[in-house]
Amino acid sequence: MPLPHLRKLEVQGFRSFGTGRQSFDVSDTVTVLWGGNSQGKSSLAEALEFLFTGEIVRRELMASAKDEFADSLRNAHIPAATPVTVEATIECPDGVKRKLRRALVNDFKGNSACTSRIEIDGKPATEADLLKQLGLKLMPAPLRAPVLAQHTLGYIFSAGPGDRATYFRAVLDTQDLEDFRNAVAGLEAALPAPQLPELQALAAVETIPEVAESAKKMRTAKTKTALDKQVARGLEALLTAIGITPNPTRIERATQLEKALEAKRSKTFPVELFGRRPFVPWATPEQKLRDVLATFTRERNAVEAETQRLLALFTAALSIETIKMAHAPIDCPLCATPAAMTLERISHIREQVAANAVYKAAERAVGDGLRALDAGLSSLGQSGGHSLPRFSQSIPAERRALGFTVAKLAALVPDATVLSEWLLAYRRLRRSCAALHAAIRIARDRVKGALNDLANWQEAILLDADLAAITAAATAFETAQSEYGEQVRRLSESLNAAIDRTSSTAAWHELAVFGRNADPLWRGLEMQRQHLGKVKAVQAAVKEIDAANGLVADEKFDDLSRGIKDWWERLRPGEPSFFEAVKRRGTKTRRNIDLKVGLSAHTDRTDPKLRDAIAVFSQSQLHCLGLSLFLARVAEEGAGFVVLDDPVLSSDDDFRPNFEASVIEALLAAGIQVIVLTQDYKSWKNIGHRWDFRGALQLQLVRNDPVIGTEVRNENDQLASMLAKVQPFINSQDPEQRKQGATQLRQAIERFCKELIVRDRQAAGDGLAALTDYDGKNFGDFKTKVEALLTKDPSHRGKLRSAHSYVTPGPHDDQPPSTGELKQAAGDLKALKKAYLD
Amino acid sequence: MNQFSLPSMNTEAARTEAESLPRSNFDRLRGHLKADTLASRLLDAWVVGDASDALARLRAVLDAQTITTPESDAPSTSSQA
Repeated sequence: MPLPHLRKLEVQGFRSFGTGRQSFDVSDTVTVLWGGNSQGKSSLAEALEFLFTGEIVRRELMASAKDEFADSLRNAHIPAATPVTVEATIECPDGVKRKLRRALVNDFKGNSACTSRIEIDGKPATEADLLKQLGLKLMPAPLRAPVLAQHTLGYIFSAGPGDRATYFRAVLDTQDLEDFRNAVAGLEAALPAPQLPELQALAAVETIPEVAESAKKMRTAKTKTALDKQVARGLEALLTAIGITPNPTRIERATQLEKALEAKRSKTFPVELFGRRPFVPWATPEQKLRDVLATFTRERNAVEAETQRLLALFTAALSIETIKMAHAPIDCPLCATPAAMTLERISHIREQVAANAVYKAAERAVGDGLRALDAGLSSLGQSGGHSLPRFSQSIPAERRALGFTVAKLAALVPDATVLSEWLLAYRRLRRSCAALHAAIRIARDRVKGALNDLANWQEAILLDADLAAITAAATAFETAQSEYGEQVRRLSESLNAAIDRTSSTAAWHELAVFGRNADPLWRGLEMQRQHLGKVKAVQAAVKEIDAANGLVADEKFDDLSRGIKDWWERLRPGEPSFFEAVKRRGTKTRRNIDLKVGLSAHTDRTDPKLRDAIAVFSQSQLHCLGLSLFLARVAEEGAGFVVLDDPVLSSDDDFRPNFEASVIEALLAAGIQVIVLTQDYKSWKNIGHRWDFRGALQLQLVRNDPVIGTEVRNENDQLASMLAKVQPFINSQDPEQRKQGATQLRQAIERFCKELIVRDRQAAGDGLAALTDYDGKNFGDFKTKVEALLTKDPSHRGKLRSAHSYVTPGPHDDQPPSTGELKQAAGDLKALKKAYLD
Repeated sequence: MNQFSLPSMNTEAARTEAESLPRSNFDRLRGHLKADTLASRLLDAWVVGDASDALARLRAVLDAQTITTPESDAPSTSSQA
């Protein structure tokens, strides 16, 4: 798949670029830009970095304080209305040319980052669109753009160990492995440690000096039997220590300890008075009682009152044999009325007697049921009373005598809230108990009334309501019991802890509980073992992953090392000192990454000694190593172009040809477009000449006016190049340098004169006029003709003469011109060039 | 293929070697983990499925992890010491 290539660049207002919007095409192969010091090379490199990333990494890498870079992106001299923009026309992998534009919105301010706005083909875009729409894949931070500047080149050698490791992790692109590793490591924090009261109790038991050894063994007991054994031993040790002969069994010892503890506690506070009997819950009377009542009412209504009055007479009549056996009307045995006892009348008497028998049975059942109900209500009332705390069943004087007072409680319980809430709960308990007793009393009175006169009792419905009231009161009492239970538990905990502190019985209770039943402790220990086992398993997994991640890093470092080696060999082939590998310092380290080099005493690199590059490489070698690493990354990441700002040190004349030839050759072979910025004029020419056949483009950067800013010019402006090149010599304190500067300025003046004459001849129709016509001639040869052409201002002739005079030594004059003289000459020449040639 | 080298620098042998190597970081990692360890099971869970559920999958693997602890010898409330 083709890589994205740059076609055209436009910059305005960015750092040294000023009001003059610079727009220039770039070659599809090699574009080399020459510029002297402070002409805008780094500004152009960083303009491209800003275009792609929205920032300049120099701020991250070099600033000791972020605010050092305040207002650093916008040219300081341009009017506020001038925008700061960088644009690139990019030929994308799909063959379509698209325009990427980034405008600075806010410059760096204090510690705040700059902000910018990007557009693609005039439409707002996001960073993600660089890849999506343009096919531009940025590299991992911090060096994201394929732009190499001097400060980024040396980054890995100046970064601390942590930053260097971070950088290489980014280069190796193993963040996904780091994420996985950190997620696994984070599992440990997500494992909830069991917070069981039994484990807290064991921790307390471990503080009893006499029991400490057994308690330690309890924690590590491998079986429940072993745990029981250690609990028994702990009890034995404690009982012996407090002068009690231990009984044989564990539970017996627990009982002994409980008694000893109770005795000790009682000396401080009568805690036994908190004791309560369980409340026997109220069972609502069964439906059976209601059925019995209903039957009774029905049967009572079925039997006539007159019948009930004559029942004995009826029963006696039916016991008479003649009536009992009658088949026809007979005389009444009582009044002798003839045939008064008809068969129908006898039958009616029989029915009435039978009905009354059912009624009587129902009456007995109701009586039994009501008596049972009364007994139940009595028990309920007693149970309610007995379930109140023992202290409440004593009169205040008795309580005081026993030492049970709220004042004493307040002195012992440190948390006043616990005490006040317990008191509130107790009062609610008392009120609910009184309400229950009241409801019971009403119901029992009604039952009593019923039993006294069942035949006329008509309050079954009211009794039902009474029972419902009792149910509600009993439920409320149970709720109050429960609430009180919680409050008294809190109070007791606090109170017992205080008592145990003062009576040196801390954790005796817990040990006694273990002695009665160690099952909960065993389950708690098992849960804790499970937890610790999982924590250890996670830790082991992290350790294994760390080791494996290290091996993956080693593999990828090997790959990276091979890439760096390739570039190193192109830059510095055959040297006895050579790059060997980038690798971890040790198999267990994640922090230290070393760059190892081989030092050999032999030209064939045999028997190399491996050393750390930073320790033994020269500045030149480190520079080449940084360049090799950068190029390896660019090749790996599939960047379509690379921007190199002075990639070879000016002192590295021996290796510059290797860069100009072999390195650029390999980049072009990989389909990578090359943009080189250099202050080395010779290198600029060599690259241009060498790669001319591939369409190399030579440009120059000139900055004559800080407001207009850096200008990008075609190589044909030779005079501008000469003026730019002479700038460093003008300011030099070295007389020899200034002498050289004077020579170059004189050559520039002669060039100006030649260009002016040739342009005049061409304007006059001499199509063959050329600069070469004046080869071998000097200023004296064409001074008169040139001065005749300087007609735009009367001062121009004098300026030309004095400029030439400043830079031309007299006979036997070894004194070089001063910086002031050279500046004046250069300034006058620039003004003349602008007036007549630009 | 040496991924940090230029295409023109590669040999056929290097390409063949590269093709036989695991490609992704996780493939490489798996190659260095012991089989059937918690680490390898966690990796399997991590790479399969949505990233948004990845942590939950790790926790599930951990929950299923069996930790060998001493067997309880029939918990009881035996009173014998």
